[in-house]
Amino acid sequence: MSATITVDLEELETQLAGDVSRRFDVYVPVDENGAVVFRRLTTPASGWLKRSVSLTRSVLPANKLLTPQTDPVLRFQGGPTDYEVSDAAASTDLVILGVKPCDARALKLLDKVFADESDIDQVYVERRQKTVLIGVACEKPEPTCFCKAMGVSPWSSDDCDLMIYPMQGLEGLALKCSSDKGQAFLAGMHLTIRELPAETSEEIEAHYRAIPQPLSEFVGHPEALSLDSFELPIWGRISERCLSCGLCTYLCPTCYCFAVVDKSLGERGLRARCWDSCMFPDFLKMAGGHNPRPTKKERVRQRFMHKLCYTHERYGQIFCVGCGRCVEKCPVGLHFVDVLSQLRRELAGGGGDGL
Amino acid sequence: MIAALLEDKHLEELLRARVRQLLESGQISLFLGYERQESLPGILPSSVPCIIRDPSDVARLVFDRVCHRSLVKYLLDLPTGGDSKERRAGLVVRGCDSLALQRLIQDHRVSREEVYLLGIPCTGMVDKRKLSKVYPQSPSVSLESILDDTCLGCDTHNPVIYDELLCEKVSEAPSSVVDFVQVRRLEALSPDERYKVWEAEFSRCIRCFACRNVCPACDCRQCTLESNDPGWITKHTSISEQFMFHFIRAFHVAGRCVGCGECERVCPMGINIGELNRKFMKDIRELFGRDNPKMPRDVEPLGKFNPDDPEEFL
Ligand code: SF4
Ligand code: SF4
Ligand code: SF4
Repeated sequence: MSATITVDLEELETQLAGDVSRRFDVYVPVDENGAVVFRRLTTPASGWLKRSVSLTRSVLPANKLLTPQTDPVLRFQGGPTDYEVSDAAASTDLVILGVKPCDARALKLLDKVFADESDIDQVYVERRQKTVLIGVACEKPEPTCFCKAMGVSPWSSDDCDLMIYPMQGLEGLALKCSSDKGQAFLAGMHLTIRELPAETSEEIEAHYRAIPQPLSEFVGHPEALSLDSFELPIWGRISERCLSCGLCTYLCPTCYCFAVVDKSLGERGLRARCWDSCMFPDFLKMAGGHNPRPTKKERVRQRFMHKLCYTHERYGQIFCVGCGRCVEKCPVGLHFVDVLSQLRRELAGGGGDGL
Repeated sequence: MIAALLEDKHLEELLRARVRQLLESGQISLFLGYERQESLPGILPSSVPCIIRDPSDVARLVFDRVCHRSLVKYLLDLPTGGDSKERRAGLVVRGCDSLALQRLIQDHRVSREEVYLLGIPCTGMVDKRKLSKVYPQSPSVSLESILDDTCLGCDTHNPVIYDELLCEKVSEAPSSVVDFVQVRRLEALSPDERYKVWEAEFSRCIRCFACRNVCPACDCRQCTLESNDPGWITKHTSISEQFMFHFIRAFHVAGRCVGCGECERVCPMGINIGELNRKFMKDIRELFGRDNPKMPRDVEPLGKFNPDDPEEFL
């Protein structure tokens, strides 16, 4: 969209921790006991910006800040028959700094679910409008990253408002604006801006383009699954080792399921949307006790059919951005790449449609 | 080469041959073992649980130093009762697995007669995080330097129950778990400081329940965490609910934890819940004089009331 610029790192740091933090809730990645997590910037020690932009991808995706694990809907008070109810849904002006391109793309996918014209989730849409996404290009992808295979460029500014290129050897911090919101946000900080010549901008892109991502080559370009894949015999076999935990879905930037849960304390209480996982045995259990997905076979199938088929049927997209979190963390290696490989073998063997 | 450090081809051959015989003779109807995952470029080698039912599949079986999960809890997935033969399962057990299985047997979740155990005296699994720092090429890596900390402190390398051993027993080193270094460090803090430590840890928890699901001491038919009525705990993740979850988990495995370290290994958020388990072990040792608090026995110190039990706060 616009040219690549550089700003002074310290100046930006001061602005973000000072004036910007008064106007926005600013979230940045920090390393907590080896786990990279997003935390609200409150009393940062100097040098935090440099540390934040050099961290690897967070354990929980940045985009989960827009769909928090416990998201208040309403408060109630009174009883036993007469309740007063008040709205508890809230959205704040948010800046998320250090968003990786995979997580930014995940938000584009979630927009299809929550901000589709025919199907609007008001709170999500409001948050989306009030959030400034400051991305950071991937200097050192994890071995488990395969975003390129899923059509994400680890340096692309497309899905963010501003993009940081933490590349060595430049004077200042290279940035790019990629939306009007980003432009306005940048202008609001009154930084000293230097525009980079077109060649340097190309050099930067070439630098990031050249960073290898071996797993992406292995994964290639997956195609969607057809609805017929529901009947494949493979599901029973691959699901045997699943632990039925919720780790893969909770770490996945494109998973978004929730349950509405009331918690009452005596005469007052809170209703919230809380993360839920299709891998939990009781996820689909009905009030009458019937469970349409009683075994791991149905549940594991659901996870992968949802990503590779249902979302494609409905939104025209495979719901995986290749962030590699499930690859790294599933305790039994039942992750996107492994399942994709097995499905490909199964379909090739059975003469079905390729992936 | 690191790959060679991880494997034991001879043991693998023995294992495959025995499993084939057991399946062919009908002595077992399935075997719970490990298979190597497809190798992916740049990604650490890893072996994962698998179930072998057909003797011609035994070539899939491996036993190496990246067999991280314990197999015993998969027994609970197998249909039981009626004329189901699925529970006539064979499986490999290392020292810690045998303790875990004892736990399930003592809780009447598995019966000893149903399972056929191929015991493997084990000298440790590697730690994925340590391995990732040296993998794939680092010529001078010692096995010791990449072993899992739990394995380094293990005092039960040899299985305590088995039907046959696939290799010679190894010598047991004295346990370093009993030093409880980190527990002592936490005990030395003031209650407020300690609260801060756990508040920071628990606030990272995402309640994925991976820790509970791998745990051999978490073997209830119906977990209280899934009860809606009464709802001891909801899906809300306020800090009080986080504490509640972790209290429930820790107290339910108190005196029952076998020290396999699985909960810490699988936690995606790096939460050191193992310290809570070890705190209970240390207390049981000190209060009830149990030398080896992680060894399952018929009557656990916390499972029976004795008039002369220590009662400091009653
Ligand atoms: S696929 Fe892995 S992470 Fe997901 S529920 Fe199963 S064991 Fe847990
Ligand atoms: S399926 Fe796995 S790799 Fe794909 S977006 Fe989800 S967590 Fe990332
Ligand atoms: S594995 Fe870790 S994050 Fe998951 S529920 Fe257990 S302590 Fe929490």
